[in-house]
Amino acid sequence: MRAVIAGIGMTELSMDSGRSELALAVMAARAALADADIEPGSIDGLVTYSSDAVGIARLQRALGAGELRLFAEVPYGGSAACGTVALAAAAVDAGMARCVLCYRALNGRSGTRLGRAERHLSAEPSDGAFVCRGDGVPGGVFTAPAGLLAPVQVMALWAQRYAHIQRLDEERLSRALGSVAITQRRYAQTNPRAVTRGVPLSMDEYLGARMIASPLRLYDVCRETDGAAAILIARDGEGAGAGRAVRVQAAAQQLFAYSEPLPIYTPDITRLTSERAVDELFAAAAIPREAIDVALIYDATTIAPLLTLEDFGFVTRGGAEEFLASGQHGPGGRLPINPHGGLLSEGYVHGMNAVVEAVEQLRHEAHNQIAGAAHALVTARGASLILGAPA
Amino acid sequence: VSARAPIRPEARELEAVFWDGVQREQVLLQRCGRCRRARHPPSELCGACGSESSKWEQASGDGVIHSFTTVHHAVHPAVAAWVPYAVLLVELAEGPRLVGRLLDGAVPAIGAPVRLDFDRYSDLLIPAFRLADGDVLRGGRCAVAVAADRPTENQALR
Repeated sequence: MRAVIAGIGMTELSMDSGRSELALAVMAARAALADADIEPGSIDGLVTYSSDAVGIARLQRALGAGELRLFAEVPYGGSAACGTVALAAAAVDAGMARCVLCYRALNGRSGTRLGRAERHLSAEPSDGAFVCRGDGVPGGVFTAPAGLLAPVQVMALWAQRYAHIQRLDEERLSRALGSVAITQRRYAQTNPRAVTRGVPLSMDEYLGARMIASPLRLYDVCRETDGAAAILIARDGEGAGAGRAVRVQAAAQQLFAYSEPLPIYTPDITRLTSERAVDELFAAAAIPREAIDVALIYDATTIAPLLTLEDFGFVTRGGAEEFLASGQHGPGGRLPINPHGGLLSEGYVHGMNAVVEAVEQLRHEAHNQIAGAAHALVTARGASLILGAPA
Repeated sequence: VSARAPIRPEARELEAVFWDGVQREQVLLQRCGRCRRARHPPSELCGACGSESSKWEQASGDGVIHSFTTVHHAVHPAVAAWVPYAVLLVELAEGPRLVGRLLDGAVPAIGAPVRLDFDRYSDLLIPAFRLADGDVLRGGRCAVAVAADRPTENQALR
């Protein structure tokens, strides 16, 4: 691909931003523009998540962007962290647009909380009973009446099924999940952006925490935060982000059939992506798996890194437990995972903060720098990027 | 009858056919008129063969637990009085998966046979499950074999 990530921008992460989502989006976008040293008028594409509160034309106006050649909203939750960038990169590669800004802005703690069900249920005026509608995800008419209301509960179904297939008892599954949680929390201690900095986590504390939706405990679940992130995609060789533009070597979206209205109807709920998608991604990037120096995995809950390690062939099916037990995801490990702390411990910009971290790693500007990082994998429930260090 | 308050489905079109059936103590699945695959959640078209022709049929009520979670943390005031509660993802004997609570505080396990029942509120039924007892257990095991033999819409992809 001829697309590069020319600039990145991110706001502070907090529990209460005190700002509108539009203001957050503009802050992150301006930071990305300054990072790439280009003017707002150069932007000719805007891509965001379907769930973003900031409409594309609204941001275009507030930012002073020019006439747009590309605008799009990507559905299906966190997979849009990579899906937005993949779409922007494809459009730039094809010459449809020249300078595309991908963004996500949310008051995810002080405003609508994705971990709760208020967005799906409304109170009936007559008797105060709660009503669910349509295909709210989760929380639609075929799931909410049974009390299946939040993403963590859906991921708990994946995790329980995974443990069953791999014959992991509760203790072994918990230790594997806990290893993800405490390792990422350790990374977060040296990341100034992380909302959990100063709050380390031990395995005993992890195991002693209350259950949220079995087998997932409190620290298996990501944080909810306010903040925004922006990623600027431009064409290689056109000057934006000169000298430190990160190459988009491969980009893909992936969606299993029967993922709607909820990803519990797919034939195998313990797979987040397909062998086909993974093979094509590495073929497009023209590098082997072993060339990946750091992985940024969408970790709304701790089960995702386990499934992703196996889906991508970094370990054999069932091999995640041993990989994690030997600390291969930690500092100095074979494949460091989420060295910013991830959604679990840095904060939640719906996954877009993982793209920011990947770019910083490849520019060798990260707080927890992986020595010599040349290739990063970013993946969010199937949608994936392979990024390469500046040429 | 449960003392808890229900979460009411505001169902439309095909959703309403399903929920009207539930109020008559039936779980209705669509059966494709061309390829004969059963499907849920309902859809205007068969995802396996594309046929617009289908008939509603009553599920036998037998199934096995495909996965489950026991919810301890209430994510909404509507379920504050429910916790802890077990939510099952059940593979019905006909093939499709259905979500429902496990009744009576029983302990779930993947692969365990279950039998359809209903969460009974004063003016509303919600599909739910009980662990199949001794007699029904044999029926449940039979249900597993049936599910394996009859392809469902989504299994067509395997």
